Amino acid sequence: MESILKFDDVYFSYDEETDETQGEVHWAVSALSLEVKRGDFIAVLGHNGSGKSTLAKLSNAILIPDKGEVTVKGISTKDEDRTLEIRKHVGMVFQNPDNQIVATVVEEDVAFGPENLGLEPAEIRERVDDALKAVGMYEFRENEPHNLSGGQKQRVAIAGILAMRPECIVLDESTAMLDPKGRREVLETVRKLHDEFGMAVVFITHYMDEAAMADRVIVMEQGKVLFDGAPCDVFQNVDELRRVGLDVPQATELALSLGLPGKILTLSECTDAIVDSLK
Amino acid sequence: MIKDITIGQYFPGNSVIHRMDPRMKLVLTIVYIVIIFLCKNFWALGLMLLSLVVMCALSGVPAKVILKSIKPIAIIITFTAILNIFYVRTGEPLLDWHFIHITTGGVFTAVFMIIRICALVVASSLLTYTTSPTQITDGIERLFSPLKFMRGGVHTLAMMMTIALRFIPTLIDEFEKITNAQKARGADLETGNLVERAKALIPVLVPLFITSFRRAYELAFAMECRCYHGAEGRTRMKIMKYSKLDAFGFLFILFATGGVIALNMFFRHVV
Ligand SMILES: Nc1ncnc2c1ncn2[C@@H]1O[C@H](COP(=O)(O)OP(=O)(O)O)[C@@H](O)[C@H]1O
Ligand SMILES: [Mg+2]
Repeated sequence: MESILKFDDVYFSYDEETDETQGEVHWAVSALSLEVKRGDFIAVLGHNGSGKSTLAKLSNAILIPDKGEVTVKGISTKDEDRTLEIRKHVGMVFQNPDNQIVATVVEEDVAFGPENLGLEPAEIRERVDDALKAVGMYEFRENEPHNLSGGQKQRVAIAGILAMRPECIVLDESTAMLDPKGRREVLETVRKLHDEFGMAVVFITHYMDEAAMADRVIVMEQGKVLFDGAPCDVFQNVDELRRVGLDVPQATELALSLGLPGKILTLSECTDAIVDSLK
Repeated sequence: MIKDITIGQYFPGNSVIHRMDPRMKLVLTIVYIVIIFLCKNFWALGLMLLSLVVMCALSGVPAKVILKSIKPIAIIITFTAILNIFYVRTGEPLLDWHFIHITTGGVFTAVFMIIRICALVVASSLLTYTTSPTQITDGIERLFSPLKFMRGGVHTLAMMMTIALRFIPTLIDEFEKITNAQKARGADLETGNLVERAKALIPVLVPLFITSFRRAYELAFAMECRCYHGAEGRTRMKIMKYSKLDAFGFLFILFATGGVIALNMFFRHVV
């Protein structure tokens, strides 16, 4: 599969540029190598300050690595002339839906990205309608964003990214401020974008059950990748995950403590395994 | 109290006024306001009020909503009227009592002032009720676009206005949340004199400022992520085109202007 986003031994620090000799540099991200291919669904886990947001901002040239290189479809993020192209390919959705909506009408907000790309009005209209339909917010296109629920606002924010027709979408804890209903709406939307449109998704989250539905889980710790693999494999490392302040999905934990065979992620898998073992 | 501020509130709709080009609406609103201040007698003023009523009716915005826009400035109106009554000394004297001298000129000026300010507020509210804030700022941006040398500046200003309008409701919500949180901690925001109440607001305003800065920072990131890079190379989804409606609107205001000039000439000036 075609590679969309590639981190190659990336180091990044927020510290002011200091002499190498002036003691330790605090790396927000260090020795990070990672590849996102077309159609990937990757969850990124890690406790606060483990470098998840830094990783997200490195991926579309908001931050530029101090060492190593980030490439988006072969374009290095260091290439300042092509920053717009990079941001068109890798869209980003943030945590607080209120702080990423620019316009006072839903459809005008969704049009913001394509307008910045300098597209023709008819083309923008088509993209806006498509994006709003994809996230199920088409009926709300003339509403004011501040009257929407958190989940709806976040879907509008996703539509705003979709309208730029990116190949990869990065969601930085986009469910963290939502109620369970809003979370479900956003998750379903993201799932649909991946399954139906084949979009690559990098889903940064705090919730284990959300991570469990990804194809691949990356666990970050102090700016480094601690685990990288299928969710069922990663979640076998209960003790190690605990040590870095993370949990495993409850079903997995129960199954492991009961000593059930197989790698269990969801509640239904867990009940099946319990029933099997009782037979 | 804060909820009373209706400026910048948009009532979606599909009336002829809604469908007019925002640039035309902006220009005509300004022309209307200027004409209102050029009316010299009640006939001319009556004509302008009549055209305002027609426009309000055409807009389909409920009369109650339109009248509510006057409420926040009631104090200003009263104050202006009182000042005019006492300080204008033209016309026949009506009352001479110690230091108070009221004349017909003063009363007329006061009444004119009340009507003019109300008409001004209603006309500009009608503009914001029937035009989304984004359309208004876009309209301003495009009105100035022929002036190439100031285009970047106008774009930046228009963008700032859009964002300000976008964040007013968010900040009001936040203001209320923080106020409630401080009240729950025993803060007393409603009693005491002006100074005491202003002081009590500090614990509300400081958190509001701090979160506003964070919001601005995050919004800037989000805008960059959506390829924002100023006016250069930016296109718009909604094209602005003058239609027949705008021609009608233009003629409407033109005739009203003509009428006011004629009435000013034929009838005696009272102010
Ligand atoms: N704007 C900033 N300035 C200085 N240090 C920062 C900034 N943002 C993050 N950091 C530091 O970088 C590290 C990684 O932070 P971040 O990527 O935000 O982690 P996460 O998103 O996983 O919570 C933390 O140690 C944090 O303190
Ligand atoms: Mg973060």
